[in-house]
Amino acid sequence: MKTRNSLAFLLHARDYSETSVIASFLTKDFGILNALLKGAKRKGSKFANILSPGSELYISYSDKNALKTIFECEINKQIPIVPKNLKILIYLNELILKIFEKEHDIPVVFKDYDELMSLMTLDNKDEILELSLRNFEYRLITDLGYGFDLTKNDVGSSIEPDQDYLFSPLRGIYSLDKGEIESSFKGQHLLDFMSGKFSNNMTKKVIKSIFRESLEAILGKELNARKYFNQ
Amino acid sequence: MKFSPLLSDLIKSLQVLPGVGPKTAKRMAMSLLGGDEADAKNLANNLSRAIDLIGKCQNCRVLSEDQICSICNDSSRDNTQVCVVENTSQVVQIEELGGFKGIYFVLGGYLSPIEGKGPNEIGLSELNSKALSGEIKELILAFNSSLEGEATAQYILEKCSSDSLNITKLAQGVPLGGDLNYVDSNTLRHAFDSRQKLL
Ligand SMILES: [Zn+2]
Repeated sequence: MKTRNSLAFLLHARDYSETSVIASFLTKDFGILNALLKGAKRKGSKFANILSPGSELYISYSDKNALKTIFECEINKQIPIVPKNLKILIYLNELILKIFEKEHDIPVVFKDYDELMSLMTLDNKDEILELSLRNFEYRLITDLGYGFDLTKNDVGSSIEPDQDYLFSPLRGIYSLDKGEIESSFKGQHLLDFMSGKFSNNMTKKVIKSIFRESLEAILGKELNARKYFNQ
Repeated sequence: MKFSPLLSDLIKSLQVLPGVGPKTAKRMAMSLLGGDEADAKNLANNLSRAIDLIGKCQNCRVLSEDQICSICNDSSRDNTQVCVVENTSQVVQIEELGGFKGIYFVLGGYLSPIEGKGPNEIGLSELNSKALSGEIKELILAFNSSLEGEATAQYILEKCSSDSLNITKLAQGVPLGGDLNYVDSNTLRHAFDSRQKLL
């Protein structure tokens, strides 16, 4: 039997039996881990309070069986997430787990997730949080091999601030020849995002919708958190 | 030896129960069929009647065979105070404590995008229109402190807030008879945040 240890964040827990749960963790050293927490729902269980959001955990598990079992799980650090940001955390967890389900791999680094969590503790940094969330999505899309350039269109010409563009997951950014249509957007928004300028509401909307389309094309389905929380 | 088709169907259907795997299901089936036939028939009848007759209270969504449950029907209860819980067994738990004289609202789960549970699936639009109708003075959220529980509380807070409605949640803190040395930092932080004035 081999014991492994890692820092981890709980992404989701579901009931396994009357007293036990199966938890999905994002670990620092071993990617996504699905493992059994025996007796977690019993009164006074040592796992009882690890389910609260924002806990960075230190876990030990055995990988003897196909279904891995956690023996130790302690709170290493508590990240006090501002309640209004909980929906962003729930979206992030759904995104990571659904990508993992589809791609059987997740190129996400623990550190990126940790940094996003730290931003979620701030009450008045919505803009930086949203920008970081979009950068996280962009990195994820790129690292999964579905990347596209936001500084060039599909035939390799540089993005022009006043030109109208459209996005498709297959073609990337492409120029619209005549006039603007409902789903088209100005190149300026892409250039602003790439240079970290993210105060314009239209820029936020355009970037969000591009990454949303791209992620949903990768997943082949809509993300529920987006439907529920308009995230 | 292979089980007969009826027997393997029975074993399979027993496995819908939480914590019941193939081995336990086999034992249960053997015990039902090997024991008193009247007992087994009684179980089958009760199960079938419960499935046919038990639905949700139209007012609070608690499991009940009446359209309006006995709690909602009790005129001595204060229907301006509503305790929101995840499921019917929590209603039973709070009722056993006694003391609470308001009524309930049962969600049937927390918001969970991963499990496909959204606001409509857990009755939040229903709760929202009740809250906005002005007939409720206090919503008490008795939720787990999991991400899903906390996010559901926040959702309700954002959607149902109004000047005439108090939204409260259960206090979290040091367990009764608990030793501070053994309380984890997370619980201690919550206990600290919700400290109470002594005088
Ligand atoms: Zn009722």
